[in-house]
Amino acid sequence: MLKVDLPGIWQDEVQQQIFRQLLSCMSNPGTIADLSLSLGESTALMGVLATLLDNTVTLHDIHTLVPEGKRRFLNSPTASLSEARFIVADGAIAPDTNFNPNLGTLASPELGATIVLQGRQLGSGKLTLSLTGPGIPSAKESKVTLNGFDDAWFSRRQEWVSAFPLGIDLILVDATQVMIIPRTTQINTV
Amino acid sequence: MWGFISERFKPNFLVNFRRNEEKQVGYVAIKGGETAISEAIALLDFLRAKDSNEPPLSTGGIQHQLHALHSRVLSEGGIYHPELAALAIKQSAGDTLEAAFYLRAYRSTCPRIGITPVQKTEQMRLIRRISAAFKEIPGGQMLGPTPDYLQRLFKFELLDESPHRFREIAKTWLQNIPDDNLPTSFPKVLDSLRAEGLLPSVQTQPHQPFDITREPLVFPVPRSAALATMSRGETGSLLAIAYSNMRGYGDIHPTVAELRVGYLPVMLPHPISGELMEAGDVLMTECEIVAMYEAPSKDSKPTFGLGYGACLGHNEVKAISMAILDRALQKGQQQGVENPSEDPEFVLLHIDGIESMGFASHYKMPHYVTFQSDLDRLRETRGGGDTETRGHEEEEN
Repeated sequence: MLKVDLPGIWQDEVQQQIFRQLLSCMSNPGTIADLSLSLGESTALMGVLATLLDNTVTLHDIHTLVPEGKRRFLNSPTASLSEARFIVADGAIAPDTNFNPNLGTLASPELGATIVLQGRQLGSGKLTLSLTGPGIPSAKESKVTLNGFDDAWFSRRQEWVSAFPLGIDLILVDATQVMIIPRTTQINTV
Repeated sequence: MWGFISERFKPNFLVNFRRNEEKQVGYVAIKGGETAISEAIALLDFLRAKDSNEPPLSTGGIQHQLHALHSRVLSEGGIYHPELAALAIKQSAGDTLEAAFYLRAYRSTCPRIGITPVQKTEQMRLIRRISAAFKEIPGGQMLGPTPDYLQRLFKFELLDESPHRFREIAKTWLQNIPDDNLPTSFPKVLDSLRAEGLLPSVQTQPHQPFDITREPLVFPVPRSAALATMSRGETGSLLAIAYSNMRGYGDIHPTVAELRVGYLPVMLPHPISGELMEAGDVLMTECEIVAMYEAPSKDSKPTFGLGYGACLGHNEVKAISMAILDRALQKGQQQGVENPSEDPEFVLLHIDGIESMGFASHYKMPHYVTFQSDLDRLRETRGGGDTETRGHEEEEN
């Protein structure tokens, strides 16, 4: 078997490990998963993208967070912001009024974009989100604290997900961790 | 979680759901029953391990000693991953439909790194190759491993096979290998018929093949969609519909021009140079049948019609069934549908194991609301009286 010397995140087994963690995060919104065992030298952002993208999934990297060389490895075509299936953005920069992601259509709500937000820290910080909805035990309200994410993202998200099943899904990352807020989750900023 | 599983542990759910109107559930997510569900899963695992004196199955053992089952799952799963196909069989306790489901689910998580051009099956490294059309074929008939000539009499000694005897089988066989190297690839039988002009010439498809993993089947679909759907179709379903054609609901009367089993080198364009390189090989079965002559137009001479079947793994019955159905579907398209096996919608929408198994299994999920409405309508039809009282009468009966 031919072995290629590539960083872990470009290899099948590691992508499967990351995929399982993303699946669990998607099922349990607000849960923070630590990917550092799978990432090696790579960032959580690249780990997530390497796992979820291929040449059939379009990407819009609005703040150029993906370095040129790795962009080629991802092999995914670039699309405009309003058409891209995946959008990568800096969480610290508030989305402007022209930031209008694809929300999908009633016939195909799965076409709604997934936005990957890069922030400084998940699990500590001044911004607190209170999450309720499917996958979150109703007995205990799920509270998460964030650092390096502008709260405008969450107020704009409110608009984007207001006509369920249309909407967007959010993946938040810091250097090594990930948290997912699917469109079914209700957020209250505290 | 669906309500079904928690509800089924209540002894009389009919009484229960009527007396507790506020707890009535339909297609709604409910909480509770989670312990019952996790216990059911644990019980399933216990079932395979309960006789702990038996050694656990190894995936290698499944792949080699249950190669027919393994090949079937490999083809129905629609991804060539021999090791995971063996794991799927182990995890699903040998249920082929479930095992194929595991592979399909895994497949959906794999990145798509490229698309191969059309592969040349002449280059298959054959382990078996036969023709029912001619006794003498270029390169000769090569039987290879086949159960065709077995008398289906039990070898009772296998009931208690010693590891020593088991090892002897391979050792003895390997001792008797002839020294001279046999060719591994052979020309196609059909090429000789084609050279005589008895077959329509090969048409290169101008379009990209239809991608059944990304596009839903909206009819009419091109032949490539039909071939891809059949290639990962469920063996029993394909066989049943093809058999209907063979037995009388159709008139294909096929002749197997060539049936070949072997390892196909998969050629991929190099990511930078674009040059084709061998990325590995896949075990596959290919069947070409000739059946029924036809003339494309009044002036042209008639030629044989062709049917094509191919799937991953060593699955001869599946490949033959697929080739017959391909021919039947083409006939239906050209001359109108006269039999179920010639109708693309009938054939292609009913041969996928994961879809048909999923539909059958979904009937286990709660249908409380639809059933309640059925009950109400039945009571209405029977007429008279108060629903609640009648309900109790029925229960007492």
